[in-house]
Amino acid sequence: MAGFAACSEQTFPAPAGLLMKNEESLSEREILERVKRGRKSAYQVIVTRYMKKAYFTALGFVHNHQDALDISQDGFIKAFYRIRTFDTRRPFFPWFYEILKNLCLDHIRRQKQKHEVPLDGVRILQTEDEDREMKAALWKGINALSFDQKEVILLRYFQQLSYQEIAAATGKPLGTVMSSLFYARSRLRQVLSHYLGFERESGKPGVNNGS
Amino acid sequence: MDHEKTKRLIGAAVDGGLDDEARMMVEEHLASCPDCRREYEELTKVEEVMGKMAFKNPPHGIWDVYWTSVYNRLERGIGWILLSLGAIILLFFSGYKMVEGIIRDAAIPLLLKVGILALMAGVIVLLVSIIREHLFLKKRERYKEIDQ
Repeated sequence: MAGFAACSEQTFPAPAGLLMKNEESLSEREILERVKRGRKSAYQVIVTRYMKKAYFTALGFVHNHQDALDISQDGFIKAFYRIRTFDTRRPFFPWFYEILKNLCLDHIRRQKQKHEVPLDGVRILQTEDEDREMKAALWKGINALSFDQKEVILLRYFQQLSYQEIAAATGKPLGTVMSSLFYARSRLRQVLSHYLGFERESGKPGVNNGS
Repeated sequence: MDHEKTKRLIGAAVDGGLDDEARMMVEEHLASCPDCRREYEELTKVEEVMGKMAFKNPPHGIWDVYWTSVYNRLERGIGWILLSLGAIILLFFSGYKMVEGIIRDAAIPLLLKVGILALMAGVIVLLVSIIREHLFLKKRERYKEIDQ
């Protein structure tokens, strides 16, 4: 019910580009302060700013367009209802990412409980004829990584986050992020060794130790 | 620089994740260590492939209606809360009317009356929750039918 009062100020969706223009010129902190006061037009700016990031983040976990769309929107709805607990001095995305990730994990857990076979996900990738096989193998390799390793790979390469941003989003120390990336890259190097013509099986020691 | 430490930093050096000082130290080590040099070169190739990994864009026009969809679902969320609350109040009131005779009967022990009311409240909340979940899941399942 916390979000009920917050929802009552504005009745209709803001016409695109009208109410948003005022809000867009504000800093993220100011916009989020307005969201906390229940301004949906301010929240529209936040949703519009992060919707692609949210969608592609969810897509990386659930491998399905409609589920990713649904879950990313659920994430924004949940975040709106919880916005009163958010400290506006901090950046929005790491806080939102935690909500989104939990929704994705819930979805994956439900899939497992229902014994639904997860989609292989290759069809959600951009591929060309000449690199399809290699990308499919690489994607399979990414999905065979531990969750922590997969998470940093998705954030680093599919979301183009910096190491610091990954650390903030995952709530892990920078060293742990770098370590996860190290082990993940070693595994992916093995996956690609056949396609890239590496001379030997590389990254042997400790490759399986990271998590 | 220590060999093992450098190995851990090579990946970060390849994707530009090191500061200038660390990068220079790695470069110095690479110049004198063929094993690390080979690893660096291989990881550079891996990095090139990883850099080309991207998800397909979703169907055209999805971003234009994204906010509207979030907004509508936000409104619907409030609707669900009010609907559930109203249903619980109405059902509880109806239930109370059915057992009002027992509640007002001074001969029946207080504990029994509390038990009846608690049972009734529990059944109503569970009923509303199950109906809501059923409707919600049914809505979710429809998405599965959409071609990916």
